[in-house]
Amino acid sequence: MDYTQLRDDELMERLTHRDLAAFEALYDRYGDLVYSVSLRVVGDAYIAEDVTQDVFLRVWRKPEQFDLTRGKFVTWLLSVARNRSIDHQRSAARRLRHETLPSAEEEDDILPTGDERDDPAVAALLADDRAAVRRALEVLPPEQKLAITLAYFGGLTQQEVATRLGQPLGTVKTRIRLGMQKMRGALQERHDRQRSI
Amino acid sequence: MRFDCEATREHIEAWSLGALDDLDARAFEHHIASCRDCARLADDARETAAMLGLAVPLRAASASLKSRVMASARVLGGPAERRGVSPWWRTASGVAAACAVGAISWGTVMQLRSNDLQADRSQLRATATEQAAQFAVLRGDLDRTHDEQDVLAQTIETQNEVLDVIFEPDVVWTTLDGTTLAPAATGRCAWSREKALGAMIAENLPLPPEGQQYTMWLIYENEWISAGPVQVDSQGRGRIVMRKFWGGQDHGRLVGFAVTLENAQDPAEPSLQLAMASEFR
Repeated sequence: MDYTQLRDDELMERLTHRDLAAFEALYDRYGDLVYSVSLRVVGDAYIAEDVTQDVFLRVWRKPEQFDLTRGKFVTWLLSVARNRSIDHQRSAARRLRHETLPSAEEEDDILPTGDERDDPAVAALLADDRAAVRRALEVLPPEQKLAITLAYFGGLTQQEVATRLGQPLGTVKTRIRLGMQKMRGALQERHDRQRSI
Repeated sequence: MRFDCEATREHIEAWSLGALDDLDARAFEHHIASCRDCARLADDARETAAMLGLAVPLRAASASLKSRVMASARVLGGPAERRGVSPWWRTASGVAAACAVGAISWGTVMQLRSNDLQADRSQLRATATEQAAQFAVLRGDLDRTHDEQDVLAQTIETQNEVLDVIFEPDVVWTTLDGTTLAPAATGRCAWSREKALGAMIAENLPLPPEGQQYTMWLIYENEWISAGPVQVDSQGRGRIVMRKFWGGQDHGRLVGFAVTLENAQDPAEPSLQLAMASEFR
C-alpha cells in the first residue's frame, strides 16, 4: 500500500491499530513543519528536535486525542507543537530564573517575509497554505502582527505583551482581536474562493 | 469569575492564541464546555491561530531525528515481552567493553603486557618456593595475575573477532547520533549479518549519573535485545562488542541500534532515556 496517497485522517485511523508505516508517513509529511514551528519558539535546534520527537510520540501513543470533527489534522498537530514548545520554554525559563524570550524587536525581525527564507529542501510542503497565511499576516498593520506574534510564538499573555511593548492592556487586546479577525477573514475568503472553483 | 456568551466571544481571539491569563482562561473554558455555539466559534478561532504555524520559515529536520523518533515509536509499540542477555554474554560484553574496535596496536600492547605478566608469574612461583613463609601472600597476587591473564586473553580473543567482523565482506557501518542526554555524543557501529556480530565505538559520551549506566540495545522488529553495558572512560569513550543472542527465537529483522541510560545493571526492557540511536538498513 502506498501510504503517501492516504489522507491525514486515514493515516491517523491506522495509528489506532499501531501501524508503524502510517506513523512514518505522517512523520515524513509533517516532521519538518513541526520542527520548524518548535525551532521558531525555542530557538535552539537540539531542543526543537526533542520537542518534535515528543510531539510525534504523543501522536503515536494517543492518536485518539485528534478529533476530526473539531478541525484539520495539520492544525491540530501545529497546536500540539506550539503548546509543547511553549511549555518547554516556560520550564526552561523557570530553571534559569530569568526571561529567555527574545526582545520585541527580535520577534519582529524573525517574522516570515517570503518563501526565500525557507529551506529549499522542504519548501514545497503545503506551499499554497503557507503562502496564504503569510499573505494574510503581511497585510496586517505591524503593531497587530507583532502583538499576535508575541502572544502565539512568545507564549505571552495579553498583559505580558502590553508590558513588553509599553502599551496599555486595552490597546493590546484590541490589536490582537482585530488582527486575528482580519486574518480569519482573509483565510475564510480564500477558503470560499476555493470551494466555488 | 464566570463568562457569559458575550464575554466569551470578546476573549475568543486572545484565548485562541493562549494569551489569556489563567483565571480568564478557566472562565472561558468553563463556558465553552457547556455552550455549543461558543465552543464551535472557539474551535474555528483555534484553527485560525494554529495556521500561524504555517507562516514560520521552514527548516529541514535532521535525518537522525527521524531515526530517533522511529526507534522510540518501536519501543513504545513493541510487544511487552523483552529478553535479557545470557550470563556468559554479560561477562563477555563486560570484558569486551574494555577494548577498542580494530585497535591492532592496542592488541599488540595487550600481548606484550600478557608476556610481562607471564614473566611475573614465573618469578612469583620461584619466590614462593624459596620463601614459603610468604607463600600465602604471594598466592593472592598470583591469583590476581591469573585473573588479569584471563581478562587479557579474552580481550585479545574478542579483538580478533572484531577484526574478523570489520573485514567481513557484508559488514555495514552506521552512525549513531546523540540525543539531548548526550548532545555531543557520536558513535559508529559495524555489524555483520553473516556472523550476527558487531561492535560500537562512541565518543563524547558524558559519564552516566550516579547509580545509572549505559546499555547497548539491538533493535529487532519484534523486540529490543540488550547487548550489555557500555563502559565509558574518563575521555567519554564507550566501546562494546555485540553479538546477537538468538535464544531459539526469531526476533525479526535488525532495524537499529540504541544506547540508553538504565538504572538496573541488566535491564530486561529499555528505558526511554535514549542517549544515542541509529537506524540500520
